[in-house]
Amino acid sequence: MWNYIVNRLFQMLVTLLVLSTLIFFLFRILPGDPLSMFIDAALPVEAQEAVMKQFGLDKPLWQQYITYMSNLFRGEFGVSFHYRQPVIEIIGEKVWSTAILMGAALVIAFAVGVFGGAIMAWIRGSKIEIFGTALALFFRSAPVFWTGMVVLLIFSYRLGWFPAGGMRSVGTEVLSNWDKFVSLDFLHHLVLPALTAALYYIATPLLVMRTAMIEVMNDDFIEMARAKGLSEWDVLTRHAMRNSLLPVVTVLCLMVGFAIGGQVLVETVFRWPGLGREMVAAIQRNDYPVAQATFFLMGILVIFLNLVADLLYGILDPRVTYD
Amino acid sequence: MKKKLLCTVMLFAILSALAIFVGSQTPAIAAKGQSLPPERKVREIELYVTTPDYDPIRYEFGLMAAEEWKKLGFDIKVTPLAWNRLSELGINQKDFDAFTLAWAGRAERIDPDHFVYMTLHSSQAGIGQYNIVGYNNPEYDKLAEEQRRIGDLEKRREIVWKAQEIAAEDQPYLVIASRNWIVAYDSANFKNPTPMMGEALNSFWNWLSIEPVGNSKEVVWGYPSDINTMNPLASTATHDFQTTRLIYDRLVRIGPDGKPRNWAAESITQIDDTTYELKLRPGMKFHDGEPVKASDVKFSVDLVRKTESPYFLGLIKPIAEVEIKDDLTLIFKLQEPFAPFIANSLGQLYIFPEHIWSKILEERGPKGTLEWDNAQAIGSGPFKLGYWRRDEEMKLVRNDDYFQPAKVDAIIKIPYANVQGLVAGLTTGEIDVLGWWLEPMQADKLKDVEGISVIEVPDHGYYHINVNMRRTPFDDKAVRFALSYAIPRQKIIDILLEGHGTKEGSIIASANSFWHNPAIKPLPYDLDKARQILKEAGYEWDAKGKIYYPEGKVESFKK
Repeated sequence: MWNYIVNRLFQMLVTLLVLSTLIFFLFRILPGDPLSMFIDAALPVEAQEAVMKQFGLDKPLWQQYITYMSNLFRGEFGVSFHYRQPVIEIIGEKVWSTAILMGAALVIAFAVGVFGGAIMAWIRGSKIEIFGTALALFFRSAPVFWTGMVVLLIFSYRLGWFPAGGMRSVGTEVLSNWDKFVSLDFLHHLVLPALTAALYYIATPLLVMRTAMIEVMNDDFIEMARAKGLSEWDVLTRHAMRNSLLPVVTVLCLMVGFAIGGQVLVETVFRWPGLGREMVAAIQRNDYPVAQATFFLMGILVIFLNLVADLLYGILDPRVTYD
Repeated sequence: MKKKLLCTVMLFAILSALAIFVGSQTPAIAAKGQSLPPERKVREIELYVTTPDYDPIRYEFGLMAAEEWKKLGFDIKVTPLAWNRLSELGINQKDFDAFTLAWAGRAERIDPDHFVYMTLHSSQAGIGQYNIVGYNNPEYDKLAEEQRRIGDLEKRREIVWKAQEIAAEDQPYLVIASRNWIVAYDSANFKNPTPMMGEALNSFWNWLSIEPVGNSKEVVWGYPSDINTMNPLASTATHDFQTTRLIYDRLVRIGPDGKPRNWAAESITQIDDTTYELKLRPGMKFHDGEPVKASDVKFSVDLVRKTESPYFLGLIKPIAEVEIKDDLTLIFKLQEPFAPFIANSLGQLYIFPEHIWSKILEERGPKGTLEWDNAQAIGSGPFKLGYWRRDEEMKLVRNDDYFQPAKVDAIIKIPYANVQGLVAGLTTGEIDVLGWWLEPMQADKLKDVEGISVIEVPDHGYYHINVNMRRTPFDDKAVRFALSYAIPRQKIIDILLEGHGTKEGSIIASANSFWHNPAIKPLPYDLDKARQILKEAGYEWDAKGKIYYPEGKVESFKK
């Protein structure tokens, strides 16, 4: 087991090296250069050169690459071209905003999806099952911004139950980080965007769970459990569902990894100051350090969660070993 | 059955009428010689426009101009480019034939120096500089230099007017139209806004004059994005300064009428060509209670020099030396006579508190100072920073000790992710003041919302088309004039701006009434005149109506 983990960690390191190199060169291949984004502000030529120097853009690419890699090893992401501030300060807070929003959305999506999927499989062929699957697919295919606007129209503009956007009420003063995210006001603002994102995500766990369940339900041990005289509910939850969870766990880990990139459209529609918007803006502005950092974070998370998924298999299914 | 036949006949009639009408317009001037030499054929011209989602106006009027230019026999290829690509090719590298651009109406562009000197003087044609078209006219250069030397406003204006005349005779870039800002505010709860050209309701004066009518004493200001940094030394974006100038004070501020006003400076006396004595208003304090002294002003200039703050560095460049005479008096010595110094240097520089920034400079060094977050910004302006949560909200609290205190208790600033959100925010009452402009359609909807007033503010910025005078065929004045006559300015305003704009002909827009030369009128849309100009210059057309250079000139530019 430990051998396996050490082995995997080493592989992760190599993957990360390749990933960070790819990220570095990928953004520099993009058309345009970061300086042209500052032109608008009437920068004199000398000042432009000063900026180039400040950010090391006057050096050859390979030197920039070495600086970037050595910074990365020390856990530094550099200074944002656009904000002129360390990248960590810019994205630090946004990572939390996005993590909370996406966390809430994924919890809802997976809670509903896993149980929903199990039930769909159980009542396969009924009208409810067909309707439920279609509904989940509908939200999956509808553009998120559209869903978001409809949700806003109903729950905010018409019914007035929830605020139309933002993370807190206008004029709220917060004193600590704790205050920022732990308050009824914050939760109140979280509901609609989380719900919108969840509606979009639900189809994946639901359909994966349903398929896995249908397969499991034909297995002999289900027959056996029924023969033992267990109630339908016990058969469903303790035998069928548990054995169908493996693929769902894989999907969950992948989705969490990508979720840290946020849902740009959800964040835009609900004026949520998250990482997704920042990521897109950074690419548009050729703000390499911010773009690199966000993609790197996302990459690290996906790779790490893959490992977690593999380890979880062992716990969920005792037949899986790591030798 | 009969009806159907009638319809068909009518349709046919209309179509043929249309064909005759259009047909009579297109073939420019009947070709006289079919055997025009191919090397005299004018090459295909590439017109860059912005992508429609970046700016639909710059995209559309580019297309409209290209359609008209084609009627003159030019081959035009329109290429939309992302803004970063366009500014790289157009403004930086100057590798373009023609492209659509808008000069934003900024406060520092009210002084004529930007338009008269920066955009057209021959010394400004290098990489990243603003003489984009490569204009080079020694007679013009002389005037552009002279207006920088003369401090007297009336005399300076005469020269600026003359410069505009020469520019109008040369058509270095094709000026099209300025756009009015349509903005809105919550008039149920606030009165007395002061909009200003180029800034509309984001104007500095607006925040001093706007007054609560009802119970809400805090005004909510909506803008489609947040500021980039609270550290003014690192700022380059207009909106950053629109915000931080409320916290930091300036020696001079440009009034809503466009003329500079003494502000933190009580008086400015010109001693000789290059020496100014400046007296500070007594009794001013920073937000932490420390007095504002002459040494803070001198320090601010030094701070900009040491840190090489990109935006401010260019502004203080004319200053050779600052001397402290006493606690409230300073002597400014300039490198050379420079008239825009008062409006653009003193009118832009912030007064930084020495007791705070000198420590930062010492601890972090010049580069570290530029990267400092300045999270608790302390200035001496009319508002104190309450708090700032990036991309979420900012609160600016009134400074009661200010010599001209604001009438609202606080400004709450909300950055939206896009303009649609902003309009929705105004409709639902979430915001009171719109920091952006409305599309005419949005304005019409808002007019019907109770408690919201929609107002229109002219702008001194304008749309234009740059043509690269370093290249054929734009090196020829006749071509530039013909192209300018072929631009349907009125149609552009009517269709694209839905009437909310003004035709422009001079390099200084009509909204800037003190500096604009009223004798210069926008060129009318006149294709015949355009063809006549080209014909008189010796241009010829082949059987297909394509245009050829005059005898003796061949296409010399190759991509």
